Amino acid sequence: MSHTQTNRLRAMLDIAQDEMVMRDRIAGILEQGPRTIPEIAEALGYPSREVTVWLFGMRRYGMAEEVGRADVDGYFQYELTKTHLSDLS
Amino acid sequence: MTLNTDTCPVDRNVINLKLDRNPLDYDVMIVGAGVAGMETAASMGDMGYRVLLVEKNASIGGRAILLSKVFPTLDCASCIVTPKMASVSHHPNVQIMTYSEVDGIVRKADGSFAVDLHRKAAYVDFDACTGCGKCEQICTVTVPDEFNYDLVTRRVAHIPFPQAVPKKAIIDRRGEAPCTFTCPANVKASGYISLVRAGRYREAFNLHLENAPLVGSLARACYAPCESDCTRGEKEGTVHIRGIKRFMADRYYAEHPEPEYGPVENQLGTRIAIIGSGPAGLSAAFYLAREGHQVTIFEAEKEAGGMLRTAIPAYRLPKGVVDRDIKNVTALGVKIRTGHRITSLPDLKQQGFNAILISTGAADEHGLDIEGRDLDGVMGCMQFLHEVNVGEMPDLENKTVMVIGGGNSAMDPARAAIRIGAGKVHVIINYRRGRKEMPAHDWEVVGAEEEGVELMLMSAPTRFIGRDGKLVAVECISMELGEPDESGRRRPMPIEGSEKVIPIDMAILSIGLLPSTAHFPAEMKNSKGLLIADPQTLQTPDPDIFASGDCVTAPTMMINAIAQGRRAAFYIDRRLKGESLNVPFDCVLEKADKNVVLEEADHFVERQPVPQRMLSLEERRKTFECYEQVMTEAEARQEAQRCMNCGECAQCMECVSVCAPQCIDFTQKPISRSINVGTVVMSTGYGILDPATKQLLGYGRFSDVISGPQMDRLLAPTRPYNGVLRPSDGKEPESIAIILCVGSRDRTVCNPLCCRIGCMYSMKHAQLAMGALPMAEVTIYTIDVRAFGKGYDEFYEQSKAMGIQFVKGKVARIEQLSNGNLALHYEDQLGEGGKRTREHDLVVLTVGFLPNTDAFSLYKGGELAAGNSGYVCEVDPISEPARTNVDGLFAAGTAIGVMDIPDTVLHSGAAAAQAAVYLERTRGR
Repeated sequence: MSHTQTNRLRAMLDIAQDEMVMRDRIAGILEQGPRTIPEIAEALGYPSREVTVWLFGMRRYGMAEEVGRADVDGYFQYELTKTHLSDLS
Repeated sequence: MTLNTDTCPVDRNVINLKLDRNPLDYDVMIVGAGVAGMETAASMGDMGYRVLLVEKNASIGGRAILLSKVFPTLDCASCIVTPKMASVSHHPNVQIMTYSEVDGIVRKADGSFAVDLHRKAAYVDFDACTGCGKCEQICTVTVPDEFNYDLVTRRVAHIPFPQAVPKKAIIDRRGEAPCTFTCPANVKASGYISLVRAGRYREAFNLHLENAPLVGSLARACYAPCESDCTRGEKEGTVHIRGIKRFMADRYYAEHPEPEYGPVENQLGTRIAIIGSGPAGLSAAFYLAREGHQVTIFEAEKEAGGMLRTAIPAYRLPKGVVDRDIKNVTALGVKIRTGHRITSLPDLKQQGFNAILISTGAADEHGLDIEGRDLDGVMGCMQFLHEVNVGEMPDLENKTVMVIGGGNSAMDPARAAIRIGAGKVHVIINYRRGRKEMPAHDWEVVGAEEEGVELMLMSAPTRFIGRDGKLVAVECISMELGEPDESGRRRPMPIEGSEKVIPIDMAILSIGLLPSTAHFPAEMKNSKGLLIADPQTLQTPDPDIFASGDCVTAPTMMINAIAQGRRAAFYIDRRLKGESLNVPFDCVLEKADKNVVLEEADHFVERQPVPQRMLSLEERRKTFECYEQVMTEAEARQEAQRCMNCGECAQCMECVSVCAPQCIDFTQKPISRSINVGTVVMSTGYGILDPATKQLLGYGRFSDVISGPQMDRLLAPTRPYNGVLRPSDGKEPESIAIILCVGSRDRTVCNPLCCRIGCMYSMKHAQLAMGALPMAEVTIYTIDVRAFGKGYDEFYEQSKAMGIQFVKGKVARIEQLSNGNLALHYEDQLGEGGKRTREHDLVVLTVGFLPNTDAFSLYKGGELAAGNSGYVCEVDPISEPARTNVDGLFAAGTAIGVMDIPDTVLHSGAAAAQAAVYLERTRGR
C-alpha cells in the first residue's frame, strides 16, 4: 500500500476499511505494555491520525482503554482491556 | 392499503401501524423528528389529534441529541432532549415511523393531504430487537460514524447512538456486492473476504459452505466470475478473491482434516437418489442431507467427483482437495455408490426413492467429421484428461501434440501435455479463429504460451494422415474471418489452396462437450440432448424427477453446476415436505452501483494487488504440482483489505450468529404506503455547510482543523475519544482557536446569512473546553459578536471573565508548521492592526448553516415557496407564523431558518396551533 501524496487527507472510509486488520496489529503492540498514540504509530509505521481512528474504534468496542491521566506532554497511554486480555488467554 | 410483500417476509412493525383507517389515517403528519418535530408532535398529541411523526433516520432526536450542552445555561443537551424523545415515543396519540421517508405529498380538494411514504429496510425485526448491540460488536465492516461527524468509526450493523429512540439496530446495505451478485451460486465473496480481513478464517469457511460445499475445489479451479466484476478492478486491479478463498480453504483443511460435523439430528425418512457425483450432484446432496433427507449418490466411475476428478488436471485441482471436499458431503451421512451406472429411472423409483435428481454432467464429446478421425493417436480431450487424471500417462517425450480448439477445455490438455512431456514436447493449439476470438480465459492462454504451447491460429484441420493405422500428420488449411454468424462472431472461412501438412504424434479434439444423457428417454430431452427442466425449480415433467448441472444447462463453469445443485435441493426439499414450489430461491438485492462506490473512493490510497507467487516456469513444465502458491496469512489479509465493501454490509452473517432473539432478516424489503392526513408540518431542519469549501482554512487537509459540530462531539458525555483530544495524535490541545462565521455572512460560498447561533455556540465550546482542559488557552476569532438573545450578553461577559480571548479579525488562511501545529494568518482589526500570525494546536471552524431543501421536493402538488434565503417561506411570520403558501401545510423550527433551541420550541408551538386551527376549519367547526 502506498500513501499517495495529495493535499487532501486520506479518506476516513479508506482508513475505516483497515480497522479490522490494524486493530490486531495494535493489539499486538499493546500486549507489550501501554503506549501513546504516537508510540503506536511509530511502531506500526502509520500516520498517528490513522492510528487515532483505529485505536478509538478498539476503545469503542471494548478492546482498549486509557491508562490514568495524560502525561506532561498531553498524551494518554492506552492498554488492552482486561476483557480482551482474558479473551486472548 | 397495498402491501408490497412480494415474496419476502414483511416487517411487522410497519403492519402494526394499522394505517388503513380511512378516510383519514392521521390528523397530522409531521416530517422530521428533531426538536421541532418532537415538540409539534407532543403539542398536537396533547390536543387529542392523531399524529404520525416520520423520521428518515433510525432514531428521533435530530441534531440536538448529539450536542454536548446547550447555551447559555450550559444544561446537558441529553438531559433536555432525551426526556422529550421518551415522552413523544410513549405518547398515546403519536405514532412514530423511524427509518422512513416521505416520497410525495399532494393536497386534495377537501383540504386533506395524500401522502406516499416508505419504510426503509433495516434488515432487523424491530419487534424482536432488544438493542443489545451484539450485532454491532461482532460486525466485520467498519465505516465512518456520521453521528460523531466522522471522527471515529462504527460498524455497518449498528445502533445509531447510545440514547437512540427506538434503540434498535439497523444494517446498512447499499445493494448486493458485485462479486456476490455475479456469482451464480451467490457465494458471499464480500462476506468471507470481510471475515478473512478480520482474521476469522473458520467463520469464513463456514460462510462459504452456506452457498457451496466444494470450497477447496472452487478455491483452486473456479474461473471466478466474482473477480471479473470486482469494483477494485476499475482502479488498481481486481481483488484476487479466489486467492483469498484458497488461503481460507487450505488453512481450514490443514486444521480440520475431517469435517467438524456429522449427520444432522433431525433425520427424515425420505430417500433421494442422485445420479452423478460431480459438482451439481455433490452440492445437491449436501443441502438435502442438511435438511435430514437420506441421500444416495450413484456414480458410474470408480471414484466420486465427476469432472472434478477426471477432467481437471491436478496442477489446477489436486485430487486430495477433491477428496476433502467430498468429505464435507459424506460427513452428513450421504452415501456414494461408485461404479454404479444408472440406466433405468423406473428401477430407481421401485427401490423406494421418493425423489430423483439427475446430475450426469456433460462429458460426452463432439466428434470431428474428417478423414482419419479413427486413427490411433486421435482422441477427445475428456478421454485424454481422464487417462491423465487416473495416472495412465502417455509417453510424449520428444513428440508433437496438436490440440484442436480454442476454449478452456483446450487449455487443460495442452498444458497437461507440456507437463507429461516434461517440457520436451511440442504442443500446438490449433484454432480456426484469431487470438482475440478464443473463448478460453485470457490468463489461461497466457499461461499456456508461457509454458511453451504454440498457438496456430486461423487454421483448421482438414484430415488426419496415418501410417499403419497410426496418426503421423495432420493436414491443415488456413482460414480467414468472414461475416458474423448467428453467435455474433465472424465466421471462419477456408482459404482455398492454403493446405499444409504438419507431422504430429497425437491429436486431441477439444471442440465441445455434449450432455451425458444417452441413458435417458428421448421425451426427457430437447433437440440438443439436454434434459428438460423448469428453469426455476429444475423439476422435469415427471414431478418426482429433477435435473441439474451441465446436463440441463450445457457445459458451463463448476460454480454454475454447484449453484444448480443447491437450487435443485431447495425445491426437492420443498416437494418432499409438501410445500409449494412457487416460491423464489434466493432473495438478493440489486447490484450495488459501482459508480457510487468509486465516487466514495476519492482520496483512497492506492492499493496494488498482492503479487501472486507462482512456481518457476521450469518447474511448471515438469510437474503437476499446483503452480499457484497459496497466500500467506499476511498476504491474504492485505489482499482482503483491498475490498471496497461495495454493498456496505458484506453479509458475513456474524450478526446472525450472535443474535439471540434472531431478529436479523436479510430478506426485508422497503415497504411503501399511501395514506391520508388532515394536515402536514414540515420540520425538516437545516443543513451544515461543508467546511472544506473554505479551502484556505485547511479542513480536510489538516487533521487538527475540525468543525464546530465535531467539537461538540468531543465535548459531549458520549464523546468519541476519552477527552478533548487532537485527532492528529490524541494529544490534549494547549491552544485552541475557534473561528467564527466560516461560511456564514460569506458571499464567497453564497451564504450571506448570519447563522444566528454561531457566536453563542462557540462560546459554549470555549467555556466547556476550558473546563475540560484547565491549562489550555482558547481564542475566538470573530468579525463581531452577536449576543442578542435572552442571557446571551451575560454569557459573552462570562466567557471574557473566564479568560477566553476574543480577537476581532478575519482569518485569511491556515498553514501547518513543521511541528504539526497550525499557523493562523489574520487581520488584526483592533489593537495594533495589520496582518498577524498566531500558532495553535487545534482549530475549530464554526461553520454556517444551510437550508435543508428536502421539504421542497416532498411537496408534489405544486410549488412550496422558498424565501430569499432558501428556507421554507412563511407567508406571514408576524400574524400567522409557520404557515406556508400551501394551505394546510406548515413549517416548524429550522425549516424556516436557523434558530436556537428555545426559539425552535416556541416556533413549534406556533406550528402546532396553526395546524390545529386548520384541522378545525376544514372540519367545519
